[in-house]
Amino acid sequence: MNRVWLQIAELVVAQSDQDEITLQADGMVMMILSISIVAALAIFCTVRILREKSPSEHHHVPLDIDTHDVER
Amino acid sequence: MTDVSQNAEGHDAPKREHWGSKLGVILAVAGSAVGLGNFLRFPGQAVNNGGGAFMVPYIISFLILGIPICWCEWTMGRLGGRFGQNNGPGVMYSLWRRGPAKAIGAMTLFIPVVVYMYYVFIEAWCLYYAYHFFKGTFAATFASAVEGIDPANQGEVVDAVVGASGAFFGNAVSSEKNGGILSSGSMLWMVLICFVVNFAIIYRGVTRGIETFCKIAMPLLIGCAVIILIRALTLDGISKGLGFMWNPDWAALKNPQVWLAASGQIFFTLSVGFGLILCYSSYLRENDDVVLTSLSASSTNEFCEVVLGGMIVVPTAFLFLGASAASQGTFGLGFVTMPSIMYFMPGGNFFGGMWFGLLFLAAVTSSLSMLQPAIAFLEDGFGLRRSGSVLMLGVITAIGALGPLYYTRKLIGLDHTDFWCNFMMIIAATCQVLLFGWIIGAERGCREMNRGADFNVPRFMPVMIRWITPGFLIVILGSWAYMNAPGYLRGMSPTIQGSQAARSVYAGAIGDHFSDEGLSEEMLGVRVDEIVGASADPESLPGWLEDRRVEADAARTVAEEDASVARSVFILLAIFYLSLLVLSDIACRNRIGKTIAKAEAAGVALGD
Repeated sequence: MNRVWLQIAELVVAQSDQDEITLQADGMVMMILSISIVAALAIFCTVRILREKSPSEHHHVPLDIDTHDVER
Repeated sequence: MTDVSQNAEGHDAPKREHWGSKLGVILAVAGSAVGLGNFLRFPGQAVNNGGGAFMVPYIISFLILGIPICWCEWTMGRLGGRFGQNNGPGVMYSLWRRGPAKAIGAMTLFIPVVVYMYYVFIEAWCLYYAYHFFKGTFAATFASAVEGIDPANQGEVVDAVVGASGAFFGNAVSSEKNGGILSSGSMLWMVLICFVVNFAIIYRGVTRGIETFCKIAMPLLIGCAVIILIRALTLDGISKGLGFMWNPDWAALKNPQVWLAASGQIFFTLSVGFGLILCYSSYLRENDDVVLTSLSASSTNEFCEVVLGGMIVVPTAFLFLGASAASQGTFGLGFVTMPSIMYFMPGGNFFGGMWFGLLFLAAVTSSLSMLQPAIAFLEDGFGLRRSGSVLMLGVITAIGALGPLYYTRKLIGLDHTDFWCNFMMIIAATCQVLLFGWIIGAERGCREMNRGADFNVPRFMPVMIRWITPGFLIVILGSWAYMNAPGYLRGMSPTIQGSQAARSVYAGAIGDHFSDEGLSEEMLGVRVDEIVGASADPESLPGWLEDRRVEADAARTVAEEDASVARSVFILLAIFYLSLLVLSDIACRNRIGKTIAKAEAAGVALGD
């Protein structure tokens, strides 16, 4: 949890930093790699769920037909 | 398929609820995990712990900590559901008929209920901010703050906007004085609205309430976040912000604290150990797939965190406000920096309202998951009807929420409650994994995990669950306690806190007085000890320091009050946990125990 009141008091704008920083090649690689891993996992799960048969398709329950055999 | 829960309770019992669809349970669990931590905590942690390099320990932690714990919890929850249990104590007791199971179960009740007591307050902030963005209050506040400042002087404009944003937050949450919320009105209304919304949804039940809401809220939340993401990525110069967030500092990987921060983030973002996965998964049917469902919920959470959370807040904050503003903690980023960014962003009112609207939705889906475990406990353990359990929990949480709502100075009530809940979460998760790996048995547990699964868990999973994951958790628990507990324990001592506050006032004056000597911090400490003593409560002071006595005494009084509040929070939490433990024991000996016995008589067992 953050002590916002202290952070606000310490807030110093470092505008000069902005001019020095840009997305470097290794930053780009890490960004794309991280997003790809997470997105690939999410897509994999989505595809598996969509491909899965609904329960009614693969659970075959015996038909409950009353033939009245016992009564006779 | 046999409805075991019905067997367990007999024909007179109401039919137990189940999730209506797999998508519903995935979105509900993902909704419970997706919250402010994804959009605000994650980027803050990443940028302060090596940027892109943070993702190395983060992904490793996800693989060896996050996924296995989730699978364990989902499996235990589904097993507990077969014994007719949808509540933490019941699930734990059905898996292990020993006293410690009740203690672990009581933790899974305690954590969500107590977190809800302050989380509803944060949920209200989001609603309050969304309302004021759409109303135009922020635009007017910022316009007034920059009035008279030359727009060419960007630094001053930024300072004024961030200052105004900080002041707005301070007023909104009353961070300067206790009791401000209860007397101000507007924030109190937001809290009441949040309470009503949460309990109205939870009253409708698992399928018609939680599942239906999450099926609407989660796509809406992700849709809003994608729109804001597109807006952020199309800003001029955003590559600078992305560079600030993602450029890796490989040296950070040598720092153990970075690894702990990454594993802690994974732990908290997936809401493991919380009790809510146990509760939600207990509504699954016997052969519902826990492996794929758990992985889907986790991956949805990770998508929201890395793709959406990692690309919006810090890059835009850096672009508009600079490095310091982009490196804030969760609340600073969320409620001070983000509103400031909206001033500079074209269409800021609309995007600001949308941003806080999505945070509100994320908070509601999380809140629902915090309420359901206790509702299920009251229903399963004491036979209360839905209306009765909702009403009782509403009263309990409303009383509990008064503490964080009243003690808002420095957010002390919220801060300390959050700390002890986080601490207990790690303990609960460790106990659950140990129970799964050693009491149920990792091999048997993994066989149960694979029941009905679209694909089986990897063959090394039993070893992972038995040794690696609990070992990792124990390291996190020890490190977390070592790094944080001493500070929080000191924070509960009025004497220590009072002395420190008074000393800091005197130290400022003494530093000014001896400024010619250029005292180092260490030397300043020595000089303060000489003049005012360790307790900073001297009988006599030098003439030049005497006029600071009133200020120091006032600081001491405030600090002592805050420490007393922190101590009271700890005592009340301990009493609440013990009460839940007693209730769990009573329920397990009576209604829960009988339901489990009936399930066993009907042939339900833990498996081979």
